[in-house]
Amino acid sequence: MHITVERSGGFIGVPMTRELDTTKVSQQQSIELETLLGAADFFNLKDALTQEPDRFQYSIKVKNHDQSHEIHVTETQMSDNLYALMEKTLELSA
Amino acid sequence: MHKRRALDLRRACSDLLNHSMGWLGSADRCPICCILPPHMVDEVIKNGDADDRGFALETLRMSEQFRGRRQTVAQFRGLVTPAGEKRRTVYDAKQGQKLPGTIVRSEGGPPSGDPAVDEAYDGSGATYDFFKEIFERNSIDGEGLRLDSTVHFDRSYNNAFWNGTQMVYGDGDGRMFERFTKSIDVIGHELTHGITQYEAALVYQGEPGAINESMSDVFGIMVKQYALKQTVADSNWIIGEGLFTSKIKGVGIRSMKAPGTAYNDPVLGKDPQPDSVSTMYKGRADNGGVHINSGIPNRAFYIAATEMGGYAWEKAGKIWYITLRDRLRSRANFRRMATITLSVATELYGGSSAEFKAVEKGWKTVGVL
Repeated sequence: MHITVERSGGFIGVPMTRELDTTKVSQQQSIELETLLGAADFFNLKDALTQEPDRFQYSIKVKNHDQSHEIHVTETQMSDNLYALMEKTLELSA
Repeated sequence: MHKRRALDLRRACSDLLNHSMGWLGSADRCPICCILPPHMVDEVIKNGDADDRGFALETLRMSEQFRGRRQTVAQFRGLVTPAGEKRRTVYDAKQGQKLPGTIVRSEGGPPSGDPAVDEAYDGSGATYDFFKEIFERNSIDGEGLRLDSTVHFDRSYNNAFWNGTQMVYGDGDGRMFERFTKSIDVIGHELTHGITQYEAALVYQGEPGAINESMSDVFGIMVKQYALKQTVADSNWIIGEGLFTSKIKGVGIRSMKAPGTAYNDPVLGKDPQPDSVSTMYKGRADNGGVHINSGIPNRAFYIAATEMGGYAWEKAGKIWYITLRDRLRSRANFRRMATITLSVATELYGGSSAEFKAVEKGWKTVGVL
């Protein structure tokens, strides 16, 4: 599985892109990411961008086997599972 | 004018609004209100009771936005009794995301000893004082709205924001960013988002969104300059100075003087702000680059203010404040912003004044005019 997270906005407005190939992390971490992906129902999520001052916006793209999906979302619109998936991806790709 | 006539006018207005509600919506939010002839409004202000004056001033304020007579409003400001006064409350989210959190300091209370709490308290106080003393504005809404701040939001949160009702500050990750209360202009920036919400209500997307962001930087840096009594020449015009840890190669988050030069770091990358419309960002990220393209109007303000000299809030700041408070519409673009600031400069100082030329130079330099 390949995950790309792009963050923009926030007061800082510093663009950031992180990529993660789950074959390069431990099996346990890979399973954790797969679990969060499923719990977030990622492949059925739609864009959810809002116009809230200084909030972060994320573009999250996941390629998994024959599936590929990308969403654009403001941080306030993210479910707990999606937020955790984003945080875990950033942590493992840092 | 007799008091009874003033009341009749209010009733007539009210009747007119009631008949129009089908398409105008709520009377409280009616965009055109009831536009009385200016001389009648002035009479109500002089001779009416407190309620009449409040009604007439609001009518005048709304109508000024259409007629360009806003200076008249300022003359009568002293007649209005403020609904509130400086009321600060600081909450602690304790690294969670629930707002507002637990109260840790209220207006008049002693310092807490927690730097984030005390900086949020002092910074919101300095911002309140700036707008009150310089622009006679009573808080975010002009009517004494309470100033609520929450610190220690989320874990390692590299951000600060205004959520529509309050200010919120993260602690930073300690690796790249310090706590976000550390820089007073950040506090001024967030509070100005509240003022913009109550005034021009600039759409947070594309060019109006970049103007929204720029307004927060413009008044944010003036809050800092006012607190330090800095002239335009004394200021470094850096937004978010002190937010980076010593590991990051940068002087701050944005440079109003030289957009695109605030940082250049192996981890963070390079400051993406353009300094003119020729290199404007046109992508979809960041609500269409609101924090990126804000560098363009930021630089225009910097040039206008430095050309005028002295303290930024005296002339350039006044032009920008009147523009924000009374003239800008929610979907204004850079060109509209430029023509409005020039129009305000003409009204205040004359069309051939040094102030007009300074504003014109600012917008021409960044390629908007």
